[in-house]
Amino acid sequence: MGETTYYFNSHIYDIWTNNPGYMVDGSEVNNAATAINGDINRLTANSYDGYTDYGTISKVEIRCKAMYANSGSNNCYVQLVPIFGPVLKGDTHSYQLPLSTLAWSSWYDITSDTNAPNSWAWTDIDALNANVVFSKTAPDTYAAYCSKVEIRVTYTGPTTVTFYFNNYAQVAWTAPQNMMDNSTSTWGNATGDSKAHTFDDISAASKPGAITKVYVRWSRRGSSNGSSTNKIAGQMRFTNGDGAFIWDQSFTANAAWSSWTEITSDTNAPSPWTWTDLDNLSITLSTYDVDGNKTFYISSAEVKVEYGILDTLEESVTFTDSIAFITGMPIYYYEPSTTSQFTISSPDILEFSGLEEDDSLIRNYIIVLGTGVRATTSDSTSISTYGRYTYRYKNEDITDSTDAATIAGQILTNYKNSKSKGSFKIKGKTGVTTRQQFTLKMPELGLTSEEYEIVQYNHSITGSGFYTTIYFGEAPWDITREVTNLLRTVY
Amino acid sequence: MTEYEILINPRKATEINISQDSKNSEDISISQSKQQSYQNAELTVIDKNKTFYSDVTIGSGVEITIDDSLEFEGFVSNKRTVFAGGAILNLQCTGRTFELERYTTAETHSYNAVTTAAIAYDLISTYTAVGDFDYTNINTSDGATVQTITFDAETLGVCFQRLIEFDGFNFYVGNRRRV
Repeated sequence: MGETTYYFNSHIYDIWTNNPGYMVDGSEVNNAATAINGDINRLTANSYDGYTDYGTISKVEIRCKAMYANSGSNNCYVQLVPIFGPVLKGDTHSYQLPLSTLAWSSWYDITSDTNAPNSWAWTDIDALNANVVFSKTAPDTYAAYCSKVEIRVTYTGPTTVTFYFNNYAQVAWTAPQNMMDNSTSTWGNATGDSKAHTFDDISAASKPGAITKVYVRWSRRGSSNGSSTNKIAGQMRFTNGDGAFIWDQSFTANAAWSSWTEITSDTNAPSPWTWTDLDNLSITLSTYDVDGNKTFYISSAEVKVEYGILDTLEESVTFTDSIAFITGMPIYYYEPSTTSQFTISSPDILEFSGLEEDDSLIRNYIIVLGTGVRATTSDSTSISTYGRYTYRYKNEDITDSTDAATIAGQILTNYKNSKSKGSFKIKGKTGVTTRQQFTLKMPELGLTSEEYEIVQYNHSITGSGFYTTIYFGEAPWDITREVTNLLRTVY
Repeated sequence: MTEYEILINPRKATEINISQDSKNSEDISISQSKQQSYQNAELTVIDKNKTFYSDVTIGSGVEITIDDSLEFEGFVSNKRTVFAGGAILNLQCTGRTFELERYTTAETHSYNAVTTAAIAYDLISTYTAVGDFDYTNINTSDGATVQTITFDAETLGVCFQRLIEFDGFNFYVGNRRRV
């Protein structure tokens, strides 16, 4: 449930003698005044924006801020009389004025006043007028002062709004214009299988609430009753891709709407939905006709949106969440992908170190020594190719021979083959991580499509721009990093 | 044109926001190496109002966003101010993965015939406070089976480095998810 308050901001007739416009200027201090019994200030418009639908109206109230002056009598009143439609008077709501100090009256419930709408709509709020009448019981010099008149609307949400598709992007159907005119009596049609028609162009003006559910439906009939071999396939077209098929085979020769199908969480649907997402929404309706001789008719397609009005509590929760961490720091422990994540080609490269390969990283005969255990492994192919390169790894924490063999195997996997190494500088690239595989294409060096692993990267932003340097094969020796690691270990 | 934003002490009263529009950043460098599990960042900032040195403390949070991509999240590990035509502040920052260095195992904590990922998972759940880390991304069946391993008052960062000797895996601490 929500509440919203407006004030009257326009008037006609200038019957109140002093500054009648002050009653509608929004100020609670500036006041209109009159000393003439029966003077009416007719208020003709209010600050409601004229189109926002906040939900179902349950109560409408009005009040005023007023006083009287020239002491001696307390029988001075401002009478508030709502005007509906726009000339039908409601009930008279009298406010006995306080002396010398502007004060608000009570809220007067006008929901069920004489001539009030049976079921209030927001257009009724927009059209609401009011008379502000000065009333006093004796002829004297006492004057009334009134600074502002307000309207309070109580409503319940969420509310629903329905749009129809008013354009199309394919013309496989006959008379497509009949399917975009918001009429259920004019029809487009198609005969046979796989005839697609894409509906487009919802005009969804933004509403003051979060979208909670979205549905779609279409008005249709067929030359034969729908069946598993004679049906309509609906599929949403979202910005991120297509939705799942919505099969409709419940139609008959009589015109009828399909059931509302919720698409809020459809495949590729936006999350969360925004009003812009609705503007970008399309749907394709296709024929599925195994026999190829059925005719399908469609007159219109619609989208229904439920949206909620955020109440004070929800707004508070949203604000808290917006500055809070909702999870701890995520830890990732994973096997690096062995597939290329991106490609760098010669035109991308601003500086290139050259490509280098030597035997410094070849290890094909591995000995792992633990406490009382050892493991040895080797790769005959590598030894045959490069000759034998021995690596002796000693770690007293290893106490199991199987573990020693596992570690030896890892070392061998990583170092049994010679690796090319190098680096290049490109325009800044975000999302780079170590251990990523990438493809390097430099045909002028004979590299048509070679894959390498990133071992180090560096982003730099200087006065000349944003650049990324990527090292592959072997990271450059960095004494600063080594010292830092050493210091952290020691201390 | 590249757009970037540096937040120091993010979402605190002393938050410092530096972007290309504020024109008080001279150089930004972010780097990471396979040999070092955590990122490093270096910033050179023009301290126009001469307040940065006092507002920035060792441990101040730092976030660097480049073209809407959060490229670095960590903390200040070194600060230095110099005068070069004006007050200049040099900051060295260390990435989030270093947080693993702040937690230590008990003495002689052993695992037998367990996968490396399961060990990683258990280390985090045993030695960190609830809510410090989100380790739901770790699949405990991943990795190589370790027959026996004993940790002896070692930081979790060192523990993870020992584990990846068995399986060749990668690990890092990511950026905390916000809404």
